[in-house]
Amino acid sequence: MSRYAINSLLYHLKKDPNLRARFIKQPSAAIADADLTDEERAAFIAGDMRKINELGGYLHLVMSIPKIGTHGGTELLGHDGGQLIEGAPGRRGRKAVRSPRSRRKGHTR
Amino acid sequence: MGEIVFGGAMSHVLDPDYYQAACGDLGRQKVVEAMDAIGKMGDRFVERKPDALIVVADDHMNAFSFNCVPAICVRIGKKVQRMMQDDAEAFDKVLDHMAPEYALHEELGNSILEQGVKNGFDLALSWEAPIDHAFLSPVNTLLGRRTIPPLVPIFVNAFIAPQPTARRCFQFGQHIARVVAKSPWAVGIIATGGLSHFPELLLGRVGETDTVFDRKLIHLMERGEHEPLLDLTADELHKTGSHEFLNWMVLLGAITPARAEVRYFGELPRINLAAVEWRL
Repeated sequence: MSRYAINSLLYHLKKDPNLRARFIKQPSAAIADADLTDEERAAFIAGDMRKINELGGYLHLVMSIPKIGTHGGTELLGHDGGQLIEGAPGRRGRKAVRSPRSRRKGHTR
Repeated sequence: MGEIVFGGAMSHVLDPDYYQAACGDLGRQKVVEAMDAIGKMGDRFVERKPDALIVVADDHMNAFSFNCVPAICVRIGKKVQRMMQDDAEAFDKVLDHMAPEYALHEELGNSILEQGVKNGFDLALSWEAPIDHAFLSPVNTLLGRRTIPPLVPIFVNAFIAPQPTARRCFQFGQHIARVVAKSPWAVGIIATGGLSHFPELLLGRVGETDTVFDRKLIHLMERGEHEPLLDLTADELHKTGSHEFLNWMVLLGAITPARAEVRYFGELPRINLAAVEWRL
């Protein structure tokens, strides 16, 4: 089963423009009342969508929250559909891309 | 006596700009090719003069998040609205240019629901669930500017564990075939989504596909060998990024033992695009 609290927050960030605006302006205050663990809260405050996804946030929500999500992966993955480098920071930490070809050569993971 | 007069399945983000952004020029080229193939499927669909179009697809946590997540849900009523999203991004943006409201085939939807419950399928029902790109991108690509017949949207929970089994989805498809056979209508049915993409639903694996697995599925569908597909497990579908094949399993149940004809298969790093039609 997935983490309800994470996904409920992701869902409301997607569907509630007021919450989204408050989150963009001051993330820690916007999610102060959310029932999150310290690790989850830190991931949201950092805007680390990869971490949020690994903690149980559903991919389609992570990818499609306006102005917060990964914009369909286009910013993070590049035009060749390449892979995120392991440990690369989330959106606010900016992007790092490695192509499938380099990945096959064992440069990642 | 009613009849299923058209069966098809296809990927469901059908938008050149989306694939241009995700996969560059090759992405645009391949999705345009796929859309062209689906449009030609639409020619054959229209020739058969269907009274209704059943669309089997999944929700992307837009309609059912998180008050209730039904395993299988029949969208009933007279009309259905497309999902609205402010500042839509990624796959949600595909909806922006589409009509906001679509007619439903109320009698067929009710028949599938009522006879299903009577025969052991504990189906959910909804009068209000909106439909997202998974339903509307294929419908609009299939029919273009042609008249869209009344729809019967059927939601399958493809993503949120525990999902219905492949076998159960197939059995539900067989139920649909029985309902249609007893009805007075000519009915088209499409399943949407896939093929392999987003394995394990991990952001770190976006950009991977499992082409070997997809070709195995296609091989079996081309031969009309549906029995091995009934044993597909949730774990297999999750690891290969084939979650949405559950939608296809419903279709297979509805048209079995018909054989598939592949109209398009295009590999991209992000997804394997597919358009398939069944000889009925």
